[in-house]
Amino acid sequence: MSQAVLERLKQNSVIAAIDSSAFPKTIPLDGILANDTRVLRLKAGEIVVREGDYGNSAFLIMSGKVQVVINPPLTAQQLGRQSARPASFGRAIAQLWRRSTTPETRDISRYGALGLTSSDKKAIFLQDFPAVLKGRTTADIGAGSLFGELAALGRTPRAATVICSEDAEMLEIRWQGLRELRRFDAGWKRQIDANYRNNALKAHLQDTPLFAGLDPATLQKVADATLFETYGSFDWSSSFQRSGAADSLRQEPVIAREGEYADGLLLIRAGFARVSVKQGAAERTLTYLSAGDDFGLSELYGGWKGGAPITETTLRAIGYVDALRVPSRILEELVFPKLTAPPKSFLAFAARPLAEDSMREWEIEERLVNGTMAMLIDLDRCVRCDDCVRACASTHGGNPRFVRHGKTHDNWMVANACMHCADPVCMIGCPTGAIHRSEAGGTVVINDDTCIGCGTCANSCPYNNIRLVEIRDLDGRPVQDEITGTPIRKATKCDLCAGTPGGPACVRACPHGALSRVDL
Amino acid sequence: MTDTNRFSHDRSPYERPNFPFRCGREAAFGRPCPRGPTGSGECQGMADCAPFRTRKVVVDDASGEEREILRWECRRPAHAGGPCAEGPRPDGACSCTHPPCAPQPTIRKQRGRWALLAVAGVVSIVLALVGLGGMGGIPSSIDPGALSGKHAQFTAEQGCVACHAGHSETLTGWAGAIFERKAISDGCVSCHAFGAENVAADAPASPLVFAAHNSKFPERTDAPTADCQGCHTEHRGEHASITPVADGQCQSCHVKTFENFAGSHPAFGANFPHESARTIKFSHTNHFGQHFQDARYADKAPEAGCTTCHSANTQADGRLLPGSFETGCMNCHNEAIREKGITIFALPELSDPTLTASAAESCGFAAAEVDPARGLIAALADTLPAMESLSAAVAAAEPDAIAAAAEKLAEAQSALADAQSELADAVEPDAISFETLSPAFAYLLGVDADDMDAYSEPAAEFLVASAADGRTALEDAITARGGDPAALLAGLSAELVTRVTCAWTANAEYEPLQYPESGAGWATGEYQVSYLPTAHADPVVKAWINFALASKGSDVEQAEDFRAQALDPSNGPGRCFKCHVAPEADAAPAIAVQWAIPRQDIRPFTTFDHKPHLNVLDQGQGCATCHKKVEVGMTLADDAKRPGAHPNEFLPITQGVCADCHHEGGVRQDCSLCHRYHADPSIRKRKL
Amino acid sequence: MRAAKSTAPFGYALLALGALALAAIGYYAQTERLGLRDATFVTGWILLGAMVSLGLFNIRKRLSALPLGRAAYWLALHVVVGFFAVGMFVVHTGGVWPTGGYEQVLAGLFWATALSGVFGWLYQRTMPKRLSRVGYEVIYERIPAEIADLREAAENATLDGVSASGQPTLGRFYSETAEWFFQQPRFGWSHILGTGAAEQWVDQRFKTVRRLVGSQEAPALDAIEAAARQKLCVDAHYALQRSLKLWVAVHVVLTAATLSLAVWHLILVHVYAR
Repeated sequence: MSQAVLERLKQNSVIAAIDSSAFPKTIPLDGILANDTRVLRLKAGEIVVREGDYGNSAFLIMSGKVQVVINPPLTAQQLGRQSARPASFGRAIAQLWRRSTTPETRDISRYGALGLTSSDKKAIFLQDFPAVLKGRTTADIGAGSLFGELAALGRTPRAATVICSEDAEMLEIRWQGLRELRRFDAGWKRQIDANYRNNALKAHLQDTPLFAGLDPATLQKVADATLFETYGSFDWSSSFQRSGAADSLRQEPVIAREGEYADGLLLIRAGFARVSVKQGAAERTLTYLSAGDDFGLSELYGGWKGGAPITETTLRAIGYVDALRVPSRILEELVFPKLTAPPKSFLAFAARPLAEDSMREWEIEERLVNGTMAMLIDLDRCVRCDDCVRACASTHGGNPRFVRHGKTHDNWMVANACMHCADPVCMIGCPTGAIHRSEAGGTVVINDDTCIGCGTCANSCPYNNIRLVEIRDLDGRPVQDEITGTPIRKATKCDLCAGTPGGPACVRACPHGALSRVDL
Repeated sequence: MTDTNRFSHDRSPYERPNFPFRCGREAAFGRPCPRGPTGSGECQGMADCAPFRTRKVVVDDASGEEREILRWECRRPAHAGGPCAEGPRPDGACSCTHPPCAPQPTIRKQRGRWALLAVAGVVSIVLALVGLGGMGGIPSSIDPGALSGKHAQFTAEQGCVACHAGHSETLTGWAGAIFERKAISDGCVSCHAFGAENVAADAPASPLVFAAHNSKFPERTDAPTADCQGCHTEHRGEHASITPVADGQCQSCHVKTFENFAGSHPAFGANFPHESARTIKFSHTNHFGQHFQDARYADKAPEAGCTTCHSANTQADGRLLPGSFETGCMNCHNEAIREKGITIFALPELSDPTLTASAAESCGFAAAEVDPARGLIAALADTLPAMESLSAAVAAAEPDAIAAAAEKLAEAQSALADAQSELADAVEPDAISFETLSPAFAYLLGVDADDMDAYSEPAAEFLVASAADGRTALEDAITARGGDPAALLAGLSAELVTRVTCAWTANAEYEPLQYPESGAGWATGEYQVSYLPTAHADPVVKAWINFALASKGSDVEQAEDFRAQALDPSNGPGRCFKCHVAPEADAAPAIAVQWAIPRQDIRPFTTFDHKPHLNVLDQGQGCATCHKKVEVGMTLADDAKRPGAHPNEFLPITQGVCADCHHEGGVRQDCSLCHRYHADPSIRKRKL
Repeated sequence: MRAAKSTAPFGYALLALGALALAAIGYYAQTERLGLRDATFVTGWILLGAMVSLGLFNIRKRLSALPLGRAAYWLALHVVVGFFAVGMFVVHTGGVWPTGGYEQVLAGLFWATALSGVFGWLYQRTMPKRLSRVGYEVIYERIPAEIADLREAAENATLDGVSASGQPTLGRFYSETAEWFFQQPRFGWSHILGTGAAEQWVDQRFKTVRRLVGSQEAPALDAIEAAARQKLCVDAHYALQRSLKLWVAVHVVLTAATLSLAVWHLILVHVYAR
């Protein structure tokens, strides 16, 4: 961002209201604005963000107006959604001739003309949008408003589609910048939280089955009463990497403790939480909760029915948890009368034989529950033939994108292949945004063209599933930085064989049915 | 190993099992170099990194001069340990150098090499042995196994091409062979023939030769065909049987399928194995029950029982045929054969004696040399004195005179009677002829044998002609009836015919001429030409019988009588049929006599060998173990009673008799033990 | 945990189908034989087709980028077609052993391939459990480096022990006994057959030398023994993984030889059919 733009930006009332002195010297406000923001000019009908997309930026409207489509959502066709790379048989055949025994060759001529950001995507216009929006619940947002910050910060999919209702100018703030603004400016923090309560919370509550069917006024009542809580560390992965998984249960922040008085329902909005119960001298892990799950409902219901609302199990944050607390009186007033059957207690999991706990505990200890497409290998079937690795290599120009080695429990191994985490910590800190969620499906992919090989993602990944490779040109010569002589590196990882029909080649290649990609 | 992070993302690169070579130091279980070999197996790990020369410009604080600092920096990648402690040498060479290794192919790469080697090995061995095979005992790569013993010498002269035309073909012929398939069977039938019509050396094989059971059922157009190799697989070794036939193979066509012989083979014929048409009326019952019991003929009884006649050495198609007439029957039945012959013609009485006049001329004498009337008168004249002398003697009452006179009178009367007779003969020549024609003569002339008016003229013409030309008239007549004079009149001399006809014509006393003089053969006694058989199976008699039977269907009315005579066992040539079975007169348009016991079996696909069975005969029973004689009171199947069938002497042999031994767990009972597939298998007569 | 979808139902269905096809072809061949016709060309081509399609399994593995269906299904197909081919061979030849010279070689290769296939099928189903019971997991290609690490650790421990105590005991032990063991993978057959000879060897050697070791050297001996115990695991993986790879190699090489001689057989029977 040029200095002139920056100066003009500072004229904006919202930006001007930021107290730049609150920022540390190492992270000056100007730096944030210059590096993590950019000004976009959008035309009426242009889609700003699409529901379901993973986005890593928030938008501050500087002028103009946007409309948030709340209900019913637009169809995928209306959103102009396209698959990242349509699967093609032809491309699969072409791979057969691209199998090189020279590792990591790249057509480096492609890199020359590219900028640092990957968000040069084509704008999608919604034709005749007033007609499209007719009959849909929408919310108008005008100048000075911030939107998209919750998805960016929580690394959750966009909750709603936002369309420019008139020509607009807006400031796109990447989540790194947003995080700093929220951290160092009280006003922004207040506003983001308020925005959350006003914009996302209701939508979120509406999506919660318990509150489905409430009218807007009642829902507002719930939203007003709901508390907004965060546990654990945002950058949990670095501490996890440092300390390992040993005895992590005791280090995890407690959200609700067994035996305590339950005062509200906990709704997990992001992250993972462990449910455990005392057993003998230690605690048994019963299960884990992830985004969308709730905790404490059965106890509160029991209390409403006349028993003591004593929490039966302990809830701990695994890493980072974003949770909502809905007070029990709201539930007693609005929800419980409508329930026909008592909600299930987590204690039901305790009926499981003690000896079968280990697998679940291992998954949680090792944070494997984060994975949505973990590569799980049954070592009792695997003949170690490496057909999966060869298949991977042959779909990636002769280069494997995982290592058939990894954390092992009993006869199960979770290999060092990208798990496409629900909470993709690897995306934290990528300076160019090369690592991103694909627009459809949420597969975490790295744009090789924009990756600068800094290694941030690889270091962030708690599972060692991203590897940096030194690239070579098409003639097989190592590519070096002309000035420093350091090899040019690229971050690589499993991309679930995007662009290849038939799904991940590793699964297809396993002759013994030992390998599968699973959502743990 | 204790370091749990040694495979972390920054300390271990991707393992690349898709690369064909591994660092040679791994082969010795040393630590591989970080770079590894190239894809084509060249070591590139002699230095850990290629140090880079950095250029830095510093400003000297004191002098303010800009100074350029050039330094070599280590560029060892992180997974190989990061920049090394020593750093590059002053000349920019890496200090972490290793002697080059010899990269080793992976098992997978080697596997590919071995597989190629295996293919190359197979191809080269095959090609080498195609050329070298057979030389000096080197096995050939086309060796399909040894031929069976009988075919083993086939390859001696021509080699494989003796059977396989493809053997001599060129490479293009070989390539074309995949798309064109010829049956090798064509070669088989150049030696093997099935049916007499194919036996000649160069006769083309009948298209029917590959039909089921060869040419046996030409009318069965739906019968399947089969190549030889459908059953006969060669190259199974010298001693391998190449003619195994499984029961199932029979039953694929023969829809009457059954489990096995003992269990459910269809029942044998009602009169098995005696259902063949009789040819000789030999009664075992009479011979053994009466004749050989008779003291007169006891010495003729067969010494060795059944096998005297039915020797296993004369076995044909499984049947033990009896010995010949000469070895058996002739002992008793030879003379009777010569007793009755056939009369070709007897000289007939003609309605008009003058007819004979013309014949007399050809015989060289006048008709009626003797005047019977004058003779009568003379005789009468002789009678009168005798009567007178008798009267005188009676008057004299002189006994001796009376006797003498009576004798004289008797003589005179006798002479008178003779004269009377002569006179009568002169008036009616029949007096010395037959009043009917012989059936053969009637047939030849085509006239009613009993109607004198009808036959006189042609008979006289014939006789006159015969008197003139001997056999010619007879030959012509026979030829006109479709007979063969050479066979029918074999041995008949023209003179004999002339003499007998002249004698008849002249009404003269005939001197019987025996010809030949052995007492049998052609004879002309009693004004007739007849033939007596000379021995058993006399060809002339057989010719006449056949001639008579061949008249069946002729429009000549007299043919029937002629045939009846020929078949009449009480007389004439029909005597043959006292033993030989006469053909049924009204059977087929053309009937023939089965003189010999036919060698052709009526069961062409069944074989039986008596020999192996001889050692299982019951003690004291002998042949009767199976061939049981009919005892009084036994009931026979209707089939056995039919006319012409074998005398009801032996009980039929039922399947159960065979199944006593041939059953599951006993002796073999497969189809091919008794049945055969090929009709008339033989080897062609090759030009040697 | 959630394993990949089992291919067993597919396999059993295929097996039933294969058995059915074999029965049908066997019935056809028998009918032809009984009908005095020659079915060997038909059965031979079917057998060759089966053998070639067995070979295609290898090709499919090379085309892993193509969506050709899961290899697990292909393996099930491979196994079933393999058994089918064995049955087809018996139907085709009418026995198990021919009489001709090259035919015997071909039959020998076929049976060797088939038996190696059956062996490998069973071997591949049992060895993974043995491997996972080792309690340690290593990629085959990393084994040399692992052994080098262990050797280095053992050597360093030996030097530490000798310098700490001044006694040559550990040095002698290492150079006389342990060096041989750490040099390369040892006791391969013991690991494959599970005889326990390797463990016995380690137990016995360390027990014997431990009597001679003082308190200063004991930590070093412990370290050497730990490395030796770890190497037992590495050795087990090396032996078992290598046997799994070599088995495939044997099977593939035999297949190549069998198929190439089968082509020769194909040419011959067509040329010599007349």
